[in-house]
Amino acid sequence: MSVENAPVVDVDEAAIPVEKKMYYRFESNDKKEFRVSELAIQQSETLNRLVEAMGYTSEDVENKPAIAIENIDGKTLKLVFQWCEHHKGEAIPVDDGSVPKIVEIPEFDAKLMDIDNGLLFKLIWAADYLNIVQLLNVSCKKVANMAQGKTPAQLRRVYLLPSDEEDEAAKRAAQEAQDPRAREVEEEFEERKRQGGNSFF
Amino acid sequence: MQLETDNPAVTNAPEKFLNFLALPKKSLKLLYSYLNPVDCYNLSKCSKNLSDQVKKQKNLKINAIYLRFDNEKSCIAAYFDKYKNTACVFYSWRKTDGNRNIWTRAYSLRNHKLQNHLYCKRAHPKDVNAQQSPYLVVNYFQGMMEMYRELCALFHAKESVHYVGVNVNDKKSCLSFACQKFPKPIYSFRLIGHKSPKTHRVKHLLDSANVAGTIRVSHPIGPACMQDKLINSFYVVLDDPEWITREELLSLNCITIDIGHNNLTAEDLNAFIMQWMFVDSDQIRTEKLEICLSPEAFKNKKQITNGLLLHDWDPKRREGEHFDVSYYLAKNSLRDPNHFMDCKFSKDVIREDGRTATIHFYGKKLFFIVWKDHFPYRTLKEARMKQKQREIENYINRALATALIAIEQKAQEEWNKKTEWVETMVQARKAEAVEEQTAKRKYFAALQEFLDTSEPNPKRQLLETITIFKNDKIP
Repeated sequence: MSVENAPVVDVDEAAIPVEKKMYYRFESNDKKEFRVSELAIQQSETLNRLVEAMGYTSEDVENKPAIAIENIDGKTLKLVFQWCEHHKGEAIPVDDGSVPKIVEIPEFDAKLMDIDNGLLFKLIWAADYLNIVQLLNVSCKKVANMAQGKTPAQLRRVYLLPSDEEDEAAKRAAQEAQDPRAREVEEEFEERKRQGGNSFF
Repeated sequence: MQLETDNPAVTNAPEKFLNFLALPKKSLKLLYSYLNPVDCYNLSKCSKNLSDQVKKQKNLKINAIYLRFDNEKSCIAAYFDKYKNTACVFYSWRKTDGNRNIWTRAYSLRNHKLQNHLYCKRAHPKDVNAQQSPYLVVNYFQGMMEMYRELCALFHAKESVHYVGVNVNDKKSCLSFACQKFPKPIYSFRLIGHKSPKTHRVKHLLDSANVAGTIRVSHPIGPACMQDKLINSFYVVLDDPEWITREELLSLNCITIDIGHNNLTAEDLNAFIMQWMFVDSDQIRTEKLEICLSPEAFKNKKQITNGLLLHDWDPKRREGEHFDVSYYLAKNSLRDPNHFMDCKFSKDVIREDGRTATIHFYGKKLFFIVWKDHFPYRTLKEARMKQKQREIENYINRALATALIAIEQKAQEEWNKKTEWVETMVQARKAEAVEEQTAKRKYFAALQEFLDTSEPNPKRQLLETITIFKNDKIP
């Protein structure tokens, strides 16, 4: 039977069940609420597992309180969810351990990450916590790009890296803070040394 | 994770900067995978802790190191195993006030292009030039060697190949190279310069270099480079030697000779082939000559083979293609155009002792190839078979050794079990004997006590009785 001769069946479009999109509600630690689509959540392994474990229906989502994400503030969470919504449905990259990694920063991501370094830092922590592989990839790539063509002195400024002296001072301070008796013992030792004693004991 | 509260680095991080060390571990690892070796080197220079971190996170191997001894243009370049097309260039110099300057850059460059930039161009990056003060006396070589040692300490450089170029027109560079006593054998040693140098300087330089591969000479250096060490080296590359004469060509006794544009005539080349044909065969080591034909030689190609009996290719005499078997055994690819030559349509000359050479014209080049191995494919096949056999033998040996170890282990376990059982038995018997002895001792002790304490003393009574029986009277 040819295509032209095929019987035409009238379909009532209203009768076809349309799958409703489910939007989950999340709350940041500064009590800001976000509505995120189910597909966008799949980008985050942590959130995806959490939502699966909770087994919310669309009614539950509306009636029950928003899921609290206590470690992330509203500003950072907004960026994270913006990213997830834009990349929803995309395949999650698998780490094959290859070096050097070739990652292109898409235009949207570049615009999204055009923020100050403090917020970028929080974004990386959030991506790490929520286990959003691709966001972590692009944000780390952005940070790596910051090092290109920089001298050690410039790197110290950009990455807030301590010098050897600062490292040592921090180590000493940490030691002292950990064991206040150590300082007393050291002072006692110094005093005995000054007095001419050969050994401490 | 307590992003807002627990991590002080987060709360205190100034917004202009990004606190690198406070990043989560996973992202730090990811970050290192995006940093190229030059960035990693710069990072390692920030502090000792970071140097250790770079060593741990960035486990890279240096494939090739290029050094240029050229006073203020002295520098190092390197290729790393995982960054095959990233040339990393490092300039380092120390001023008289003790301060050290470093200039680094990573370029996307292929090996031969980097060599061209590094050894053939007289200019070096403008940034470096701007930073180097012309009024201060600076030790460039010390800075470079310092950088070399740092790179070797930071990355794995044990198996790296070394390329060294020395400016023969600069006395300081030559002296510095000779004094350095370069620690590793040099795979490719280049004489660079822009004019003809003093002969004794070149000689001294060649004598002090531990060359294990190629000696390459830039074209302005001229006949001053024709020293014994170069003439008798393994592999010589003369870049466009317009100065080369017939005598100099005939004096070359290297295994492989590569000559660029020159002014040699067809007769000169004919003389070279004639020398190979008729001079004492033990003295000539040459196995391959690759030479650009001068316009004169190109015009009179036929004269090159004048007076020689030429043979067409005979598959029974030699293979149709020439290549170095050892090269293919080391690599695994067979069709590398640089090491493979189709000689089916070239002419052969045969020496009295039976050695065959091929005269092959390819474009404006002449290849003179001596067939050390007439059937390289066969040799390759045999070598690969042997290699395979060796691998199988090794595999069997390894399997046997493992099986033996397993058997030995099992026997040892059984022996241990038996010994343990015997030991337990002996100990149990010993314990029983000790127990018995103790019980006996206790019994006799109790008996003794009983005899000593009971009235009348039975022992005494017994003694008395015995005495009565003996002497029939009581004492």
